[in-house]
Amino acid sequence: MGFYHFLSLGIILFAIGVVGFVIRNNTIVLLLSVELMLNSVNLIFVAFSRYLYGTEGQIYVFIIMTIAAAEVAVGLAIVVSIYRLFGTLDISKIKLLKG
Amino acid sequence: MIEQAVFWMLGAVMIVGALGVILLPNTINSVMLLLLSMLALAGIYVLMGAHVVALFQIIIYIGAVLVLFIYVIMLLNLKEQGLKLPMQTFTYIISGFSLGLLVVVVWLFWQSLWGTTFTGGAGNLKASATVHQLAVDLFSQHILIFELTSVLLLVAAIGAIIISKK
Amino acid sequence: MLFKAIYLLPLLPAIGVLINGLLGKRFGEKTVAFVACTSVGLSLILAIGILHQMLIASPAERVITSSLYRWISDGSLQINVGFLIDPLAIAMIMVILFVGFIIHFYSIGYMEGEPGYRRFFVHLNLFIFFMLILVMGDNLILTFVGWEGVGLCSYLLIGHWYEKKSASDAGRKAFVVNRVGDFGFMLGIFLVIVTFNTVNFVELKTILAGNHGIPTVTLAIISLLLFTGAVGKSAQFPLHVWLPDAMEGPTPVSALIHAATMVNAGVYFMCRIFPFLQQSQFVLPIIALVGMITAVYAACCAVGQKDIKKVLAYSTISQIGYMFMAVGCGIYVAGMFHLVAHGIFKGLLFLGSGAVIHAVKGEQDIVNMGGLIKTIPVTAITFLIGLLALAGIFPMVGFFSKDAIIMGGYETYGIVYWLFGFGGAILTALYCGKLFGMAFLGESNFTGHVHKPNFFFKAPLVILAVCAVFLGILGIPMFTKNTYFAQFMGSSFNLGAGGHAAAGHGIPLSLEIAFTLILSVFAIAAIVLALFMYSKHRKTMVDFESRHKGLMMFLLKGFWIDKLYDTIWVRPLKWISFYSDSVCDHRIVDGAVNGTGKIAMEVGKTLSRMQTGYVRYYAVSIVFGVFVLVGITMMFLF
Repeated sequence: MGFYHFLSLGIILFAIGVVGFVIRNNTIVLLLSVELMLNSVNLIFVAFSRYLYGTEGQIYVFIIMTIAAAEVAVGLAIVVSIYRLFGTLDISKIKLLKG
Repeated sequence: MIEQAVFWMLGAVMIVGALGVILLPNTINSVMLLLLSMLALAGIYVLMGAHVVALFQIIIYIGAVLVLFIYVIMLLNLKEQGLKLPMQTFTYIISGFSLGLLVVVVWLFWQSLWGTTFTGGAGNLKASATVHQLAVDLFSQHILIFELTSVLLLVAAIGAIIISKK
Repeated sequence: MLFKAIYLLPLLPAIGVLINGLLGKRFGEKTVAFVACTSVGLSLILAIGILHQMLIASPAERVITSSLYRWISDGSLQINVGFLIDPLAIAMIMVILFVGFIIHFYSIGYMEGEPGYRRFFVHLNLFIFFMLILVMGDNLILTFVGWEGVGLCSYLLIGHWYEKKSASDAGRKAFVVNRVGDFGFMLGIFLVIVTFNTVNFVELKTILAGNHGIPTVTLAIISLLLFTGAVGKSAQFPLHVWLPDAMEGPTPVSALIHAATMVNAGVYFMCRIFPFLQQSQFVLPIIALVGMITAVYAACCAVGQKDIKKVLAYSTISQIGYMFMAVGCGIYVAGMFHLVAHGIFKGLLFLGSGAVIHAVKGEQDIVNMGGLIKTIPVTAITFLIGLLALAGIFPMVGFFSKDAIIMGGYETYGIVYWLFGFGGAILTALYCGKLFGMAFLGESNFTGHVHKPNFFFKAPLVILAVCAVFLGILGIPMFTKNTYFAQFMGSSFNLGAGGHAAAGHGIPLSLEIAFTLILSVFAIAAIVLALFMYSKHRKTMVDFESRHKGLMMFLLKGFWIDKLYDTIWVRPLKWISFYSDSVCDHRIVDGAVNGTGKIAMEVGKTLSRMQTGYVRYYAVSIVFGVFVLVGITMMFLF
């Protein structure tokens, strides 16, 4: 069990997040996928922090967690207002940005 | 030996949980599986000796973020929607790319990092990564970024209130 | 100590501007006038106090500097907002504030009931503010700020009645012609900065007094460039064309700006930078030459004018020419004395002409006046005093000041200059006599009721007339370099060696008295002759003028110089502008601009099809970008 294992775990988690973000229609699940990706990055940061015996990696993890919390707060607020506006959370039905 | 066993178990739980998050039709189940996945992740942090991170992982993610998700799901009273996957070409392409990336990166790690082990476990921590050192660094070197984050949180809180206001 | 409060001098008029300009919308005419006059009046009282303190101080203590704050800081070049007051400056300040206050007072009556009453007073106060900045600035840049500020106010006030096309055109002309001079001025400042790395007058003087090792050519170029600015501002030949047209403005403006203060700023500035002018041999002769040409030329033109204000305008140009002559002869104390004297009597003349114009309901042509002495005696008498001072008749102030200049010309450059100065003085006496004879004596050509001037008209005229008579005291003892005025000015900070003592050989006292007597006798003869001819035998003179129509037109139009400029500058410029508009702008520039717009629009239209509106597509493109980035990174890694 070495550095390599942890990194690979992080990559796998990230890939799952990406695929989830692309294939799902439910907005809440999209946010969950984003959380997955953020977590994978956290994992890699901590692994590097461990590998290099430094504190920076873990400090960044704290920052990322804070940002993730902020992102979720705003994201869920948007989800609520989307639901109010469109009556659905299916993003394939929401296309106001169409040029 | 025990550590290795724990690692493989936790890793398996985490990956399965993550797959469940993106593949289960019911949203509430996804959230619950994400919770499971994050608990496993916290365990992995402990394996690496990052106890504080593990603690925060549980407190912030599971205690706050996921509860927020569940709360929103209850608020909106979402019905089961079924797993309608958009079977379009680009989803295959992206999934393929992701898997390709996965394989390539894992292979690269294999090539370059195989054998660079670090001795896990709390017993082998060096002084530089202890909680004490972490706190000192966070509140001296990184104090600006720390304060800025608090401002960001405040802004996000206000923003969330304004966005969700009718 | 009043010396510490000198920054209040410009501040008070500025406060007046702010009060009237920002809050004055609801004020009545009386309040506006009160605020404007009070601000200038307080400033005047302060200036008198400072003058008093300066007079009792010892000569060494008469130079006051006060630095308010650092304005521009660029490496070793430091520019402060600071003020410098010495006898030279206080003389100018007294003219500005004294004449300025009187003209403010006069304007209360003159502008009564005019639309734009508040605007007028705001601009007038603003002008006083900028003029004080110009005079008091202790460095070239601050002086330049004031310089441009008074130019702006001059433009605004000439065009006060902007509905009249000729007025707005005249304002624009003044502005454009001044730009030519100011361009030289700015180049001069840049050259000073490059050469000396400072713009402070005191520091510049210190450098110039020492062994500086700067090439004389550079100093001469600086002097001439700065002189160009002075030529533009002071309406000297060949940049004088704007001043006669500037008479379109209200008469108090003509009196304040275009006679007493702003146009003299060039002379003042030349005195201020006199250490520069002394450095090379050929700068002073050039200045003297320009002054002499202007003095004689403008006097010729003034003889041919019909408009009462234009006579005075050309006479102003001519008198400022004399001042420049004094500077060019190195006796700028005499120039400053003439400046003060001229400020008084020309202010008086313009105010008098304003009273006349007011009395005859806007008629400005002196041919249509006549006999006014019977109806408006106070105006007539004070006007006569002003004209006598202008013509340099004993014992008016003009006698002392002009005589010193003409004698200085003889001392420095010989008999030719004296002859030209003499000729100019005779012409001056001629048009003075003609003006008074046509307007006030003889038969009345004006049909209609003549307005009597009220208190607001009479009081300023009387005060200024008294000053014009008694200010000559400053010019005694005559024929020496030690007149009272020169004694006071002698302690100005940049006088040093030159200044009031002419560099020449010195001439015997008897010869000097003889020359003065000749000048006086001829001037008196000329003015009496003109008075007599134009009052008693006006018909003969009018016939004479109509027979020599070409000559009179030549004089009236100022030697056709306007037409010359129109041909060589204005028309080619117009043609180039027209060409630029029709070809360059419409075809090339517009084509390029519209073409860019069209291209952007087409590209946008094409690209907008990629905007499907599905969030997923955007996410996919982000992911794709990440793949590309990772791929590139890997290519470099392995």
